[in-house]
Amino acid sequence: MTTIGDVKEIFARKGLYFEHLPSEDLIVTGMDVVERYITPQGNSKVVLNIKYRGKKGEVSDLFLCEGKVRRRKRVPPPIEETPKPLKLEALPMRQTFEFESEKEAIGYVREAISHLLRDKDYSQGKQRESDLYFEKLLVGFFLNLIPRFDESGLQKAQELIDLRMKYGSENNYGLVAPAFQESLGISLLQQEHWLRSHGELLAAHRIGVYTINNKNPNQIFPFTVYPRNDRDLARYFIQTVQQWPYMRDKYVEYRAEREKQGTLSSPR
Amino acid sequence: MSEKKFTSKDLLRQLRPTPDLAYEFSNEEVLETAKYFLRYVGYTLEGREHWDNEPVFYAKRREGETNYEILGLVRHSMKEVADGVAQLLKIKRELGEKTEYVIALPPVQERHLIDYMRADDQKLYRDLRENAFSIWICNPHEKSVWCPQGVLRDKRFTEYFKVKFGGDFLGILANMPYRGGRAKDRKQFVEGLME
Repeated sequence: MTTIGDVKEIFARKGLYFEHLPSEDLIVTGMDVVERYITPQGNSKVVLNIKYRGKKGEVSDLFLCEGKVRRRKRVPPPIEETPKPLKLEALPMRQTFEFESEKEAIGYVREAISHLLRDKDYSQGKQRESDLYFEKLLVGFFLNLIPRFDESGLQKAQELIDLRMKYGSENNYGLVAPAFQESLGISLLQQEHWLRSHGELLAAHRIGVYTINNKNPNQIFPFTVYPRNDRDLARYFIQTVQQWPYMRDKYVEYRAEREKQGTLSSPR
Repeated sequence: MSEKKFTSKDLLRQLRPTPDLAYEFSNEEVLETAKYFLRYVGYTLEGREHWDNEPVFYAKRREGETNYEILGLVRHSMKEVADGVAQLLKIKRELGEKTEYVIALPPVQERHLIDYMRADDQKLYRDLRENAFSIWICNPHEKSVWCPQGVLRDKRFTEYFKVKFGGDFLGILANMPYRGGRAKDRKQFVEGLME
């Protein structure tokens, strides 16, 4: 049997408290929420109609309880699986996080970003002012490829800003690099510092920064901005943007393991 | 350590003693940024660079049958915006309604932006709104511009401003927690922020 004391306790657990309630041992026979109001400060006020057995039989009365309801936000966990290509076959994985040379890194990011855009119905166009140029329904995508986030990378970003001045905001602009650049001379900390220092500037000019997972060319992480008008592409980036923290953790673990073992071999 | 929750109100209170400007830039730097920005958006700067000995930027853009014209002047901080409004009113009497008018500032603290617009029963805010004058916050380091007050007829600007939202900074602030909520609550919220 539920008593007034139980009701008080259940509501208190939710963060709602009654000012006046009858004796705690009285038995509750029914309860309805008459009105609920949430103040601008986020406090809840609930008017309850509680029916209980009093000394002179069943009594029904209104009671106010108030407080701040503690709600747990349910955030769905990000999908860890790399989004599958819509039309093309997925690109083969690499065995290692390291690159032997800048040339190898540039070739790798070129293939990965081209594959993603072709899969989303972009076609490669001829254009000499950026490293890569794609087009879909007359909207251009200017891309510059860099091996690492450094001064020359910033220079390439500046070139994209100049291109935006020339070709307008109707087109998209992106800077593409490998996700982990340690084998090319830039530590993860330096990489992140570069992004913190220049991310706002690049976002202000709507220059997207994309990094490609060193082992999985099918996983491309967006930083700053990405095209929102192309739904397929936006959907892809909405998924991968959530995967970056996990990938970063995996890499840090791998690096720690490698340092511990003193070897250069990469785990599977 | 106090167990009291740190609220946004506390944060704003701490911001109050900050200087007017977030970053120090000269008027020339701001003027150059505004001109760069106009070229960036696709405007052509016209030869008119002074008005009553006051440096101004004046530019035009044509899209199809529509001509857009914009004129702006530079002020160093929110304290000088009222003077800028008076100057723009003089110019507006000569150039008319077809031109859009802007006051360009270096990055000012948002706190001061709100304070000055709300002073004297929101006089500056009302002056800006009634005359359709815009405020641009120009960052010469980033070569970026944000428009916290005013809406321009040329929608192309939206794609180039650093932040897409804007137009009515005070209004946005007032609407933030309860979009479409009650006017009384909104007023209370703004009053609360200003305590």
